[in-house]
Order: sequence, then structure tokens, then C-alpha cells
Amino acid sequence: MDRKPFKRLLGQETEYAIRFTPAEGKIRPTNQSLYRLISNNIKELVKARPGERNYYQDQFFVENGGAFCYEFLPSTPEGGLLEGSTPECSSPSELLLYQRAQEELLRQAVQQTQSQVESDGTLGLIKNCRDAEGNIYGTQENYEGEIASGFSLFLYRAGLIFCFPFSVISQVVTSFVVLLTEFLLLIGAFVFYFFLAVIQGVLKLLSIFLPFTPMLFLVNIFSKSKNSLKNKFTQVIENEEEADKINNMLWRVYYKIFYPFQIPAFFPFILILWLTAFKKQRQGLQAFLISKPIISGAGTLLQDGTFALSEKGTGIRRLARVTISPSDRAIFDFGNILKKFNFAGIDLLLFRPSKYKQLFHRVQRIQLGLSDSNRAHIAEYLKTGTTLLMLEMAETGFLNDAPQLSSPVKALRAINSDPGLKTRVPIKGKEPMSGLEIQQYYLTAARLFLKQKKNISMEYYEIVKLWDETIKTLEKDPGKLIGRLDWVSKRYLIETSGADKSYEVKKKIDIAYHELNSGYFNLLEEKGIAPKLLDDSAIKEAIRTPSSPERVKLRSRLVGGIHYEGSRMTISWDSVRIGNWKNRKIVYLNKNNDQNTPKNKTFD
Amino acid sequence: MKQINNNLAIDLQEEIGLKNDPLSEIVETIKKDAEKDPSGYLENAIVPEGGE
Repeated sequence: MDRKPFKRLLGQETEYAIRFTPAEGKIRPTNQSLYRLISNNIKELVKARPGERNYYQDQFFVENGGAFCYEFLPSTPEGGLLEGSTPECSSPSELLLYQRAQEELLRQAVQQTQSQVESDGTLGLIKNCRDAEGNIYGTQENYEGEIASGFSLFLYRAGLIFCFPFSVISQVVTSFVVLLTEFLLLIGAFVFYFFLAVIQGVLKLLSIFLPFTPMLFLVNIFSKSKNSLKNKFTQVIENEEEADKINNMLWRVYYKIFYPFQIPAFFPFILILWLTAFKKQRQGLQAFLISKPIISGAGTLLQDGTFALSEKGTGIRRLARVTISPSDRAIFDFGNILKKFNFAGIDLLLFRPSKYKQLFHRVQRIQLGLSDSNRAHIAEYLKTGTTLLMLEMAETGFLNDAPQLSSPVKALRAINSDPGLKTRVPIKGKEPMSGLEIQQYYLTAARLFLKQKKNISMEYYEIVKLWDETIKTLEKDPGKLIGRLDWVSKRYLIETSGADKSYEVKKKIDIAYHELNSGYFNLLEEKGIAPKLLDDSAIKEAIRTPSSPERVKLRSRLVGGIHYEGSRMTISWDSVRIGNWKNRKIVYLNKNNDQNTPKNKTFD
Repeated sequence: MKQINNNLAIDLQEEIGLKNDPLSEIVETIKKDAEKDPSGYLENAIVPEGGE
């Protein structure tokens, strides 16, 4: 296979649901404590270093350049997910390799953790996107892409300057209130403790002279209160679960206070993004992404007993994100840019302007929210491979005439809820098209693009060949794609193993298909029905070796190297900070001579 | 990357016969496993409020 580098980096973030089924009468530990156990085992299996989000998300980077963290919503901190991020990759085949390496590492860590959980029961990680109650989480695809050009780029950059004070004010107010609250809580607790101690002392003294029962009773009450407060302090310091309870309570309070204030602070910048960011890609890829679930959907059984192609597709609300709420799920997600913009205010106040400067780069990270967590190698490979090719085509103007859906979200719902693949959706100025017809349109355009383009990686030809075969098989006999496409495989298993069974049994088949350690998909793989595109030995090797971009190799050397053993180190996607405040060295990962990472490109 | 055999599942079904093919075995295995406390399983795999 030709190893010519692709022009842009790509990567994937995957949120895994943490399942623990306790034995009868036993307690289910919180996801927070289970994450802690699993992450400790990951750190025993591979070399790891704390990430910049270590303090509030337990983030850490591992020696292949990827990262893990505890992803949670402030409203439910104890019910979070384990998020794994692949290192930046140079091709879809490399991304598939590092995604599977992440899963293999997690499989080993879960096996080790099983015996360490204090409560009896079975532990599992589920690589899916939708639980039995319809809550959505899962995967996000990331690609480098040109955010804008010409006047739009000027407008975007002007917006960054104009809106920045809002971010700074929001951050200053938030940080001040958080620090003040925590300071007052701590001082308040100490003052209260000493107040109880003084009262107890005075009462004890009085009880010597007035040895009446009520006086002794009061001494007892104050003594108990003081000891209980002292015990609580000791517990919080010594026991992580007790500390979690206090932290979680504070998260909830802060979320309720600050979220309403952040909406107006972010609104002007979101408006600028909506007007300028990734317009070419949004226009060119719109119909492609909406019909992509027919290839890469993982399938989901809905509460009404019907089957949908994509788990994520059921929760998508719009084409591009317009608020900062995580539940505002969009196909094009600006969450990463908004986060960077949010923290840029704090970074600037701490004399670290690099993140804000990065936002001015022409190339930014495109984050796609409509992306299912695949178990089948072919589905996952096609998901990222075809998207990468479409981005290439859109940015060179090759998709300027691509079909535009009259109502994108309605079209997604219609295509997603029809596993028969017959539903046609309205197209602006053209005849309605089915999901298959839309994919065929893009496939034909891709063939033409490859014919006209010189100096393009041979891997694109492989991707187009596999895409073509898959679409033809979907048209003629989808059953032949069992083991290759997740939604086809899952639908088959629900209809056969779950025939005449209750909704709960069918839904268990849906969810258990995605278990990493003992999933129903694993059975398809073990019996050779689900083809593997990668060798097991290559996957195992990728757990400890970095992907090809130079920036990942450098990060990996810093995470795993013995030179800095014992030194304090904080890793982020774009830099590594070594040493303490007095003696700090910052290594910027972007500033390397990287053939796969053109200068000024960013993937943070 | 490995070479892909396009018709693996179908070839196996045709060659070995539907009753003894690996897919039928898998269907039976899943059928038995899925009936074991499905409600308890689902309840303990809930992600409150989801993620991103």
C-alpha cells in the first residue's frame, strides 16, 4: 500500500459507557470510582503522564500519544463516561489501527480491574452511543480543515478579537466566584470547628461547677458535632469517594450558577462561527454526512420497537451547533473551538496566550458529532476514509454542486428511521433522493476526483473500491454485510436471537453487541464472520508505539522517555510543560519539522 | 492491511449449511445469554444525561 502522507491529520474521541452489574444485594460503585480503578490499571500497563485537564477530568496521556479522561456533565458528575482519544493520525488505516489499539488496552485494563472492585459483580466497557433510556454519547470524528478563506476568514478573525473580552470577563467572574466560594467554605468550616471546640470547653468547665444532666447532655452534643466535623475532614482528605461527594456537590452548584451567564457571553462568538466557520465543508458534505449512517450507522432499537440506522442520528438537533449546551447535538460540532475560546481567556490571564493565538490559524479542527461507535472494522474504516476524501474534495471546490437538502435534520430522521433504505428526501432544485442515491452521487464524484487529481494517496483508491462494493451489496443483498456493517449485523441478531422476545431482551442484544470484553460482536469476529482489516500483532504494537506524525512521536518520547523520569510534566495536545513554575520548560509540539503536519496547522 | 474476503459469511453459510454454520451457532449463544436478567443489565449500563 502506498504510504504517501495525507494532507490533513485526523483522529477520534470515543466515550465508553461504564457498566457494572452488581451481584444480588451488592452495591453498584459510581462510574467515577470505576474510572479511577480502570485508569490506574491503564497506567500500570503503559507509561502515562498527567494531561492539562488532570485536575478536573483525571486526564492523562499514554505512550502511543493518545489520551484518556473522565468525561462528565456538571449536573451528573458521578455518572460520567470513560473517554479515549486516539493520537493524531495521517491516514484512515492508521486511525483504525490506533482506535483498535485503544480498545485492546482498555480490554486488558478492564480484565485487571474486575477483581479489584470492592463490590461483587461484572464490569464492562461499552463502545456504543445510546443507552436503554435514549441518552446519547459516543464518538466524535476530528479532521483538520480550512476554517474559512477570503472575507469569511477576515470576519472570523475580527470576531475572535471583538468577542474575546466577553470570554475574559466570563472567565474572570467565574474564577473569582469559584475561588471565593471555596475559600469561604474552607474558612467557614475551620471557624465552625473552633467555635464548637470553644463552646465545648466552656460547657465542660461549667459542668464541673454545675453537674446537672442538661449541662452534661449539651457537652455531649457539642463534642459529637466537633468530632463528626473532624471525621468528615479526615474522610475527605483520605478517602477519594468522600472527596468526590463534596466536589460533585460543588460542580452542581457552579453549573447552576454559571451556565445561564455563559450563554450570553458565548453568543456573539457562536454567531460568528455560524456565519463563517467551515462553510465550504458544511455545504459540500451536508447530504453526504446525513446519508452516511447507511454505511457507518451502528443501529439502535428504539423504545417503540422500530430500528434506526444510527444511534447518534436519533439525537441530532441541527446541522451546526448554536449553543454551548452539550445536549445541543449537531452534525458539525464547534465544541472544541468554543472550549478553546473559553479557556483562552484564562490562559491569557496566566500569560499563556498560545491557545488564543492558535484560534487565528487558517486550519482548525473540524469536529463531527454525527458519528457512531463502530465495532466492525470495515464500517469504521469507511466512516473516516470516505469523510476524509469528501473534505479534500469540498476544499478544492469539487463539491460546490453537491445536493442540498431542503430540511437537513428532517432528512436525517427520515433516512435514519428506514433500514429498508427506500425513503427519498427532498433536495433543493432536484428530484428527491434516497440515502443510497445520495451516497452513489458522492461515490461517482469521488471517482471523477481521483481521475483528475495527481499525487494523491493510493489509499483513497482502496477506500473508493470498498465503498463501491459496500453500496452495491447494500442495494442487492444487505444480508451479505453481516460482520461488515454494524447496523446490518445488529439488526440481524435482534431479528434472529431476539425473535419473539421482550423489548428488554432485544435491547440487551443491542447494547451487549458493543461490549469490549465479551460483546456479541466479538463472537462474529472470533468465528471469522466479521473480517479484521488489521493484524492482532500490529494492534498490540500500536498500544506502545506512536502514530506517524512527528508531533505524536515527540509527545510519545516525552511521555515514555526515561530522561524526564521523576520530573513534573503536564501534557496537552499542542505542548508539553516540564518542571515547576520557577524552572519551567515548554516544548511546543507544532514547531517541529513534520512532513505530515504542514506549518501553522493545528490539531489540539 | 489485510485482504478482505467479500463473501465470507455467505460462503460459510452456503458451504456448511444453514443449521451448522457459525452464524447460527452465534444466534443460539446470544439467544441464551440475552435472556439472563436483561432489565438488570440495561439498568446498570445507563449513562445519566449522556455525553457529547
